[in-house]
Amino acid sequence: MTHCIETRHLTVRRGGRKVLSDIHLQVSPGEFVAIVGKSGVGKSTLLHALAGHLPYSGEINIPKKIGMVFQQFAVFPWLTAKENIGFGLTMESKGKIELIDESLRLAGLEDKAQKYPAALSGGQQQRIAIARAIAHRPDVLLMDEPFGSLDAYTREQMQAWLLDVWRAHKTTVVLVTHDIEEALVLADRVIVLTDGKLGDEFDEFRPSLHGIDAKFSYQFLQMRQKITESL
Amino acid sequence: MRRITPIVLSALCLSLVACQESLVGSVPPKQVTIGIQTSPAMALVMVAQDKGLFQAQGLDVELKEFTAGKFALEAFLAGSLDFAISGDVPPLLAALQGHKFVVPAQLVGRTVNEVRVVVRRDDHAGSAKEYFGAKKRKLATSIGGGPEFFTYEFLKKLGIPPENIEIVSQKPGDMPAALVGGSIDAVAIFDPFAFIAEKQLGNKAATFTDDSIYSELYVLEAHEDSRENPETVEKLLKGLIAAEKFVQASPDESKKIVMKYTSLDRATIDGIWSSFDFRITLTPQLLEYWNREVLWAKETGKAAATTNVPDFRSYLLTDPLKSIAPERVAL
Amino acid sequence: MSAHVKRIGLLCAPVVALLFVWEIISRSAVINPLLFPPPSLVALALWELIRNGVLIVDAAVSLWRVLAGLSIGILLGVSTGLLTGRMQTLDSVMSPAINFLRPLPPVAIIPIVIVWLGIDDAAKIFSIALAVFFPVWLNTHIGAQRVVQEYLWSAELLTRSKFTIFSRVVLPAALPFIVAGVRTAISTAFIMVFVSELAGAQSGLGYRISITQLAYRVDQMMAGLVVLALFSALCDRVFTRTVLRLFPWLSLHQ
Repeated sequence: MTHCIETRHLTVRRGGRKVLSDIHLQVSPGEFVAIVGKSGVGKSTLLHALAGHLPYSGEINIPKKIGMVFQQFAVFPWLTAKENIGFGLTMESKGKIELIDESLRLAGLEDKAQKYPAALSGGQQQRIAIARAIAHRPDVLLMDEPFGSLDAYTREQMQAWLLDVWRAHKTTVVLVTHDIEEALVLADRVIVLTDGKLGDEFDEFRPSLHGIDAKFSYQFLQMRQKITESL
Repeated sequence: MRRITPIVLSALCLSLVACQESLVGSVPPKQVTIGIQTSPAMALVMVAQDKGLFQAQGLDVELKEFTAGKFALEAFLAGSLDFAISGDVPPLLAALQGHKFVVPAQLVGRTVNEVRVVVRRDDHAGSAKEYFGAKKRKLATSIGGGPEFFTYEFLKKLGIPPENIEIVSQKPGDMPAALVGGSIDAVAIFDPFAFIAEKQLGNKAATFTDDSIYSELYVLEAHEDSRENPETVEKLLKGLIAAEKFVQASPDESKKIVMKYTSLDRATIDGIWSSFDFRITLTPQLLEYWNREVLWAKETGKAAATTNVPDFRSYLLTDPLKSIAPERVAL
Repeated sequence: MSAHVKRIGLLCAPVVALLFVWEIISRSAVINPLLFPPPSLVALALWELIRNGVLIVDAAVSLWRVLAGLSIGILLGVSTGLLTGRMQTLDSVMSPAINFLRPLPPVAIIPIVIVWLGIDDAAKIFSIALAVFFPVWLNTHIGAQRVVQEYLWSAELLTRSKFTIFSRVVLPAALPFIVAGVRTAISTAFIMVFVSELAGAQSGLGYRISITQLAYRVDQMMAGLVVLALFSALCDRVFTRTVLRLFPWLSLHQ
C-alpha cells in the first residue's frame, strides 16, 4: 500500500543538538495518527519538519497540499471568522461563498461570521482554524497541540467535534500532543516519541470506533497505563 | 566634649577674621552681563572688553552674544541680562507694548547705509524703482528690526504698492544662501550679511541704498533701577568712551579685535567699517526715528491703532552721560 | 447627572483648573505680565486674529504643509519599512544607511535644506517628510520583522500568492506598530512645520508665532501656540479615530 506520508532516516538538528534521530514514520491515507511525548521531546519539531519549515537530513515523502493548525496564533486577528475561512480560496465566487458557508456551519459559527477572533472564545477560534484548513481540502492535516491552551471542558468538546469533522472528510491527520487521553480518544494509532526517537505504537484499541464514552472503559485505562509507562 | 569646644571656638574666630578681611580689603569688581549682536557694529564693546577698559572702571563684564540685537533685548527684558545693545527699532516696539527700561546712550553717532537692499540682478536691474516695479518680488528681511522699517519706508518712497512685494521673514544668517540659491529675489539687511550677500552674488548683485530715509542707530538698554543707582551705567559709559578714543587712535588694532570676536575676515570688516561713526552720544535723530517708527508699527499691525504712545524722552536716561561729558548729550 | 456628562466634566476639570491658576498668577504680577499674559488676554488676541482672517490663512497654510509632508513621509516610511523588515538583502543594504541618518535632529538639517531647496513650500514639505520618514520607517520595520511566525506559516499553506501574504498578513500584522510610528510622526510634523517656518516664511502658524514675538505681542504669540497645539492634538485624534473605524480589530488587539 502506498503511504500518504513516509519518512526515512529523518534527522533534524537545531542549535547543534540532534532533536530528531533517524525517524521512520509511515502514515496511510485517511489515517489519524497521534504522536505523544513529554514536553521538549521533539513533537513540534517533527511536525514542522514534515511541513517543510526546517532543514533536515534523510527523506520525507508527503503530499504537497498540507493544512496546519497551531496551538496559538491559529487565526488572523485582523480578519473576521468568515474572512479567515475564506483566506486563500481561489475558486470562483459562487463556489467560494458556498464553501465558506459550509465551513461556518461545520464550525457551528454561522451567527459569528462577522466577528473578529478577539471577540470569540479559544475554542471558537480553533474551530475557525480547523475549518479554514479543511476548506482547502488538504491531503494531510498537521495539528500541533491544537487544544493545548483550552480548558478541560472545551477540550473535550473540541475533540468530539474534531472526530465528527474527520469522519466527514477522512483527511490524513498527524496530531501531536502531550495529552495521552486525547491521543487515545482521537487517533487510529498512537506513536510515542521519546528523546527524538519514535518508540512504541499502540493501535489495538480504537476509542474512535466506540464513541467518546469509551474513555471510561477498562481497555482505555489499560492502554493509557501502557503508554504512560512507555514514555 | 571638652577638647572639641576650643577647636570649634578657634575655627569660628578665624572665619570671622577672614570675613572682616574680605570686607575691609579690596572691593571686588562688579559683575555685569551685556547682550550684544555678534557684529562689527559692536566694535566699541569688543574693544573695551579686550583692552580691559571695563575692568579699569571696576566692572567685570561678561558678553553674551546673539545673532541679532533684538534677541539680546528679549533676553534683557526677561531679566537674564543686566544690559543689552540693539538697533533702535526693537526697543521702540517693546516700549509700545508697555515694557519699562531706560536708554542711557547710543553706541553710534550715526550709521551710513547700514541697512541695504541687495538684489539678484536680472534684465530689470536699473534703478530700484524699475526693479521692484517690473514684477512681483520676494524680499527677505529681519522682521521686527531696523531692516523691516527701512524696507517699509524705502518701498513707500519709491511708490511700490504692497501687492508688488512679498515680505519673507528670515534670520539674517540664512539670507545670503537663500538669495544666492534663488528662492528669494532680494534682501534688506544690515552688515555684515548685506556685505556677504554682495560678495557671494558677485556681479549678479545690485545694491540699492538710501541713507536719507533711515540708517540704524545702536542703543544701550538698561534696567529702570539705573535711575536710582546710575553708578554702574556711568562706569560702563566711561569704559565705552575710552574704547571710542582707542578706536580713533588705533583703527587697525581695533579691526583686529573685531575680527577676533566676529570671525569675519579682514576684507569684510574693511568693507563695512566706514558705515559706522563709533561714538557714545545721544542725538535728536533717535527721537525722530522713534516717532516715525510708531506710525510704521501701527500701520503694519505690530501695535494696535489704539495703543498709547509713550513720551519717548522719558525712556532716555541722560544724567549719567551728562555727568561724564555733557557735550555728548545733543538733545 | 448622567455618566456621559460626568465623564466630560472630569476631562474638562483639570484644564479649567489650570486656566484658573494661570489667570491668577498672571494678574498677580508675580511674573512680568507683559511676558506672561493671562488666558483671558490670550483668548482676546486669538479672537482678534481669527476675526481679521489672519489666523485662518496661517492655520490653513501650515496644515497643508503638515498634511503634505506627513503623506509623503508616511508613504515612503511604510513601504521602505515593510521591504527592509521582510527582505534580508534590502535590510543589509538600506538599514545601516537609514540608521546612520536617523539620529540627526531633523531641526539641524533645515539650514542645508534652505541651501538646496530654498524657502518655498516644497522645501518645508521636504523637511517635514524627511523628519516623519524615520519614526515611521523604524516602527514599520520592527513590525514587519516581528510578524508572528505562525501567521506566516499558515498563510504560506493557504495561498501561493506572495502579494496576498504581503498585503493580507504582513501589513495587517505590522499595523499596530505602524500606527504607533504615525502618531509619533504627527507630533514631529507639527514641530517641523513650526521650525521650518521660522527659517523663512511669509505665512503659517510658525511664522505668525515668530513675528508676533518679535513685535513683543506675547498674547498673540501664545494664541498662535495654542492653535498649533490644538491642531496637533486634533490631528492625532482624527487619525486614531479613523484608524479604528477602518480597522475595528485594532481596538480588540492587545
